[in-house]
Amino acid sequence: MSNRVIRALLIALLLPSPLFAINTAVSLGAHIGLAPDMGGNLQSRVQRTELGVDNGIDGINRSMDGVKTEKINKLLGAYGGMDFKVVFAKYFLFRLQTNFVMNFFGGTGVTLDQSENRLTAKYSLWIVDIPVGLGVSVPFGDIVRISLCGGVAFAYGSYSNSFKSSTVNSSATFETWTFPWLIMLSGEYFFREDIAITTSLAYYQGSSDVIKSRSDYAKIDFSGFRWNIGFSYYFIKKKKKE
Amino acid sequence: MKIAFALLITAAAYAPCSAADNIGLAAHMGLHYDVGNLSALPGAQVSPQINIILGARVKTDIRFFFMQLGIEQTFLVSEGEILNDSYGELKKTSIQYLAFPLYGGLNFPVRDKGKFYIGAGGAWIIGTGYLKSASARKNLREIIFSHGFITGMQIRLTKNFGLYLDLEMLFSDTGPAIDIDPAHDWKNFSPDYSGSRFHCGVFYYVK
Repeated sequence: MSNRVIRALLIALLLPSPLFAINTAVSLGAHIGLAPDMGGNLQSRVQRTELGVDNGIDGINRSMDGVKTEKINKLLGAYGGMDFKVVFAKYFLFRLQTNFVMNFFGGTGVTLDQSENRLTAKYSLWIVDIPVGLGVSVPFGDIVRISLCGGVAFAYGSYSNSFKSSTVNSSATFETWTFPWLIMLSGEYFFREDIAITTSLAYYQGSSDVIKSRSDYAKIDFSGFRWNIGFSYYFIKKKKKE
Repeated sequence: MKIAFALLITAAAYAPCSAADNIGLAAHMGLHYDVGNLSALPGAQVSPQINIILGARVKTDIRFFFMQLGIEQTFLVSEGEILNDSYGELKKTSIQYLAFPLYGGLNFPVRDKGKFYIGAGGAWIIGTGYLKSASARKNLREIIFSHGFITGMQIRLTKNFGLYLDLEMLFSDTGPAIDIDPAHDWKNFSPDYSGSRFHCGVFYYVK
């Protein structure tokens, strides 16, 4: 067994020990939030070769006098999830979340294809992710705790697009997973000893390999900022000094 | 998003204040690097556009919530430039704007020394400036709504004065403004007001 595995096992055994339990607090919470620019530019082969667009949704909008077009906005996602936290050794944090993110604004409109015909474009994306992180958590008095953690997430996404005009007819759905890394800054304000209102700002970075769907190729980009607000319930509380 | 924004304003107007709450006026300088996000254009080697920001804001703290409304004007430090002719005919950008940001979120007091805050909201942006292609120059004049987040730290130095430092991330969509494709008559390049802004300023506690 490697030294790394032995060290991990020792830490795992120490965490629930009486020595660490003195300063260990465990919470479960829920949150809702926003994820702007979901999926990055959502580029795909069809957009590059059949529509002449090199940067996906960022470059898809075209307008011309005499042709009615509708602006295609980038995807704005909303999300909800659960948050499990262990604050140990007073200043350290282990965090596990589950999130479901889905676009609720943007991604639909009318632009022009290469032949200057009206083209209806649609983009949609949903993501399920499970981030795991380690970091520091600093208490300020009894009412505030500020945390910073980094880690990695398992992320599964489903990205669909459709482009329809008199000369182009394409639709595809890409489903894949990967492990983006992330960094998360969060604050907790304690109403009571065991209940806190929380807010977090996270940044994810990572995208899948390019995959195929019908005649189209694309990757799913999980990168981007996310903000959430929610609450935490500490069902195991830190013991106070006598 | 616009409805949420209107609700934030209404909530701020009706929110009761108590002795523990603060109202403050602030003035700041800021930096917006890579205005227009030229560095994200595929294959482009760019000299990024840089703006400095001058702004002011009113911040109200109600228990652990905060609400802030501001005004910001950007000033050009250096134009954005596509160096390798790699993105159609686009050559230069000079994007400036007047913004009215509104944010709401949570304050986390750091003992009596200051506050750490994270919030969400957005800004109405009046875009000005110009875009230059190989064959044309387009003056910008557009009003857009953008959404975003803010996080920062406010430190109280004296009873009435403090300093703050924050990072604002805004995301926006605009329509096409200029033709950078010589083979067509359409407009196909949209200026991008998205990006991160750093602010550093002085806070005066009115209450």
